[in-house]
Amino acid sequence: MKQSKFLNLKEFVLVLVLSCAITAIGIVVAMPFAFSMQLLYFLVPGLAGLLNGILYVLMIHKCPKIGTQLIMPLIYGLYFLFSGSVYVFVFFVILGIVNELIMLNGYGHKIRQAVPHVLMWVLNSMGSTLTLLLFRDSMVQTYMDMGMDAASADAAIAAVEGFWLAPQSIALALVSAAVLSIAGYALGEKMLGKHFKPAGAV
Amino acid sequence: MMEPTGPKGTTVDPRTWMILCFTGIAAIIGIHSEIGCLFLFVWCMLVHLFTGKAGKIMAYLIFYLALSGITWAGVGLLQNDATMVLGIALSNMGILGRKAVIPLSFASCLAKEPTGSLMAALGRMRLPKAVGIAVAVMLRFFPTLGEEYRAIRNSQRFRGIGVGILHTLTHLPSTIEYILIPLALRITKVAEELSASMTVRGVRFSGKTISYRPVRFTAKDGILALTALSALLLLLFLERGGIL
Amino acid sequence: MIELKNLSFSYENANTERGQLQDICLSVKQGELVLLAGKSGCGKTTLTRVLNGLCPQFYPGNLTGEYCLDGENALEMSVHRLGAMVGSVFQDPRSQFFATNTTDEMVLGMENVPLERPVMEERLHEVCRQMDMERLLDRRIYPLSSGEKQMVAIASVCATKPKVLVLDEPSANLDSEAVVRLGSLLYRLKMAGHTIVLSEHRFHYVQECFDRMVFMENGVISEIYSREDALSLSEGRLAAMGLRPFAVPALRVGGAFVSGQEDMLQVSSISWTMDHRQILDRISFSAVRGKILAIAGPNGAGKSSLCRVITGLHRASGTVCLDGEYLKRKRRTRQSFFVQQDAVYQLYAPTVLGEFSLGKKETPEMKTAALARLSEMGLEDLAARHPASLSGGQKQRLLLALAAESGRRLMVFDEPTSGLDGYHMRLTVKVLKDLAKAGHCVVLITHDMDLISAAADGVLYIVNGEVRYHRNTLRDKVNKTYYQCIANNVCNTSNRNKD
Repeated sequence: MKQSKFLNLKEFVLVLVLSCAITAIGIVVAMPFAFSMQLLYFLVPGLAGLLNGILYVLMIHKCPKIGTQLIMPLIYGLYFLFSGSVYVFVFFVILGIVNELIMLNGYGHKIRQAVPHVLMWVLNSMGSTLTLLLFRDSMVQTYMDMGMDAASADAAIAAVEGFWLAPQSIALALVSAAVLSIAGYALGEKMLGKHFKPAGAV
Repeated sequence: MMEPTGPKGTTVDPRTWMILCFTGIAAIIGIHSEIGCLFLFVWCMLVHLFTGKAGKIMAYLIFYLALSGITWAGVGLLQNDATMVLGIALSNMGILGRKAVIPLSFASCLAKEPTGSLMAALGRMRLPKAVGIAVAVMLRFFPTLGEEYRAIRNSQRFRGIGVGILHTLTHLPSTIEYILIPLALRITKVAEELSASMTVRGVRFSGKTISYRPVRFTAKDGILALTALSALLLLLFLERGGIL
Repeated sequence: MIELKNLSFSYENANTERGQLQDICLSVKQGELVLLAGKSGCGKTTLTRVLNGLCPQFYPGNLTGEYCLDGENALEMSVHRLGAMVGSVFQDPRSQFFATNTTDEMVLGMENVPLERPVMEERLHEVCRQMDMERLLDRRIYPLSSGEKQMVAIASVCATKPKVLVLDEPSANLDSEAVVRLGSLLYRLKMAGHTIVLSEHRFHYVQECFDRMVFMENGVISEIYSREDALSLSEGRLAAMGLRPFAVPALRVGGAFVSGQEDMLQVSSISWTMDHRQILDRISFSAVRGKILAIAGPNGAGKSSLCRVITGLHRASGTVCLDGEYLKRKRRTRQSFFVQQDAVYQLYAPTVLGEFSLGKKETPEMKTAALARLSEMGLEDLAARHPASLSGGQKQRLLLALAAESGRRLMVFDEPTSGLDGYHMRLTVKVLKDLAKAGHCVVLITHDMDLISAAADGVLYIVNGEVRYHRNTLRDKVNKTYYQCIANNVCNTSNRNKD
C-alpha cells in the first residue's frame, strides 16, 4: 500500500495527544521555578526540552509525515495565545512552518531530526522576552500605579530589559536550552532502543 | 419514562466564547493601567455571572486578589537594590497572571462546551473538519492527562519507587524514566484505540456531517459580543483619554 | 450477510504469531448471532477487525482471501463505509470515547452517517430506553465508571442500527445487571434482523439467543458448533478448550460474616466524598488472613474507591487496621500491594526479570527468587522480554508474581480476570489461592461471577457507597465438580503455558 506523505487520522490523533502531553510538561516544569527569573530563563526551557525529548523521539518515529512538526508548536503556542501572549503564538506558528520545511524528506536522518526539537526549546527560551516586550507598557503603568515615580518605574523596567535582553543572558539561555534539549533528544533515542522498540510501540 | 425533548443546544454559542476570548486578549494587551485592568476583570466576572457560570467567580476573585498582593509586594521589593531581582519576578508574575486570567477564563468556558456543539460551531465557521477533530481530541485528552500521571505515581508507591520528595530527587533520572515511559506507552495505546473507534464510527477529514446539537447565534450571544467589544473600546478610550 | 473465504491476515511488523489469521472460512446469515470463542491471542480480535475493516486499512498487514458483506466485496470498501454497515464495540471503554459528553458520544456515529436530527433524537432515546440508561444522558464522561462508559459505547453503536454488529468482549467491565441488559438488547437486535458477531469469554448472557459458536485456536477456526452442540459440551471439555462455562455459576452466599479481633484487615466507618458527592458512606468490614474476599456491586458503587482508601491512595475519614495495628495512610500503602486494571501503569523496567529488582541492586538471590516466581506463573521463557510487549493475561500474571514477591500483607486486585479466557481465569484463581495460602489477605474487586464462584471465600456487596451485605460463599456440588475439574486442568497445563 502506498504511504501518504501526510498524516492519516490515526497519526493525526497520536501527534495531537503527544503534543498535548508535551505542552503540559512544558507548562508544569516552569511552575516550581516561577519565582526566579534566572531559573525561568536559563533552566526551564532546557529542562522542558530534556524531558520532552523522549516524547518527541517517539512521535517522529511513529509519525514521520508532513504535519507532525507544525502541530506540536501550534498547540504549545495556543496556550500562550489564550494567556494573551500573541507574539509567542505567532512565533511558534512560524517555528512550526520552519520545522516542517527543515524536515521535508528529512525523517530518518538522525541529526536533522534533532534540529526541530532543539529549535523549539532553544527558541522557547525567548518566549519570556517576547511577552515582556508585549506587556512592557502595562508593567511600567502598574509600577507607577503601585507607588513608584515615573523615573523609578523606567529604571526598574530598564533593569528588567537589561536582564532579559543582555547579550550574555541571551547567549547563556540559548546555550543552556540547546545543550539540555540535545541531551533530551539523545535520551529519547536511548529510550527508543531500551523501551519503545522492545515494547513494540515503534 | 423520559420523552424526547429535542436536542439541547447550549446557553451560549461556542462562537461567542471565542469572540469573548479574543476580545479579552486584545483588551489585556491594549489596557495598561491598574484601574483599567480591574474594570476588565469586573466585566469578565459579570459575563460569567450572567451566563450561568457564577460558580467559579469566587475562585477567580481569590486568584485575582492573591496576585494583586504578589504584585504589590513585588513592586515594593523592586525599590530596593538587594531585593530587586525577586521584586521583578513577583511583579511580573502578578501582572501577567492577572491579565491572563481574563482570556483563560473564557477559554475554559469554551472548553467546557459539549464536543458536539464545539464541532458544529467550528463547522459553521467553515473551518476544515480536521480543526474540529483536533479540538475534540485535545479537550477529550487534556483532562485525562492529570489522571494518567496520578495513576502512574500511585502505582509506583506499591512498587516502592518514587515515594516522597527526597526519594524522587535522589533518584531523579530513574523517576523520570519510570514516569515518562509508561505515560508515553499509555498515550500511544489510547491514541490508537481512540482513532480506531473514531474511524469505525465514520469520523474522517472529509465527508458530510449533521450535528445533533443545534448551534444558534442568538440575540443573547449578539448582546454579549457587542458588550464585550463596547467594553474594550470604552476602556481604551477612557485610558487613552487620561480619564482612567 | 457475511462470507469469508480462505481469509488470511498477518500484521505488518508483527513479532509474534499472536492474532494472525489463517485460512478462515465462515458464512454468517442475516439475523444470526455468532459467538467467537477461544483462548486469548487465538485471533478473535483480529477477525473482528477484519469484519469492521480496521484490518488492513487501519492496522496494516497482509490480507488474502475473500470477504463479502451483504453481497458486496467488503475488501474494496472504505473503512468508514464499512463502519456504517458494521458497528463495532471495543473492549476497553476508557480509551474508545471521543466526546466529553455522553450524549455527544452516543450520537457520534449517527452524525457521521449522517442522519437527520429528528431521527437521531428518536433513536437516541429509543436505545437509552432499551438499555435503561436515560440517567446517563447529558453527563460528563470522565467521572463515569468503566461499566457506564462501556454502556455508552454500546449505545453509540446500536443507535446507528448497523446491519452487522461486531462486539469484542463488551461485558468485560459490566456488572451483572448490565450484562443481563446487554444480553436482552442483543436478543432484541437479533430479532430485529441484525447480524451479530460477538467475541466473548463470558457466554452466559447470550446462551439463550446465540445460534452458533465458532471456536478458534492459533488463528484458525478449529470447530463450529451449533447452539445445541455447544451447550451440550461437557464441563471437562470446556475446561480443556480453555473456555468458561455457559451456565451462570451457581453462587450462593449465606451466614453473615462474623468479625473477630484476629481479623487481619479491619476497616471501620470509611466515608469519602468527591466533588460534593458521597462516594463511600460509613463502610465497615473485616477480612481474614489466608482468605479471599471479593468486593462486588454495581458499576459506580464505589468498589475501587474503597480499595484506594484502604491501600492509602485516598484520604478519607474512618480507620484501617492491619493485624490489629492502626495504620496511617502512607503506612497502609507500604503494607499493601494494589494491582489496578491497567497494567501499563504498573510495569516500568526494560525486561520482565528487571521488574523484580526495580529500584534495588540485583543480587543473585533476588534473581533466583524472581526466576522461581516467573516459573510458577509460566512466564520463565519471557524473562528477557519487555513487559509492555506481553499479552494482557501475561501482564496480569507478572503483576501477580510481583505482588507475591513483594511480601506485602494486604493484596488488592482490581478486576484481575477482566478479559481473560477460561484457562487464564483459572490460572489466576490458582495463583490467588496460593497467595492466600501463603498467609496474605487477598481482596478482589470484581464483577466476574466465575471468579467469585471459583476463588472467593466471602463477598462484600456494595451499593451506592454502602455495604449491602458481607457473607460467606457457599459452594454447591455442581460448581465443586466443575472447579475441581478445571483445577486439575490448570495444574497439568500451567507449566506448559507459553501464550
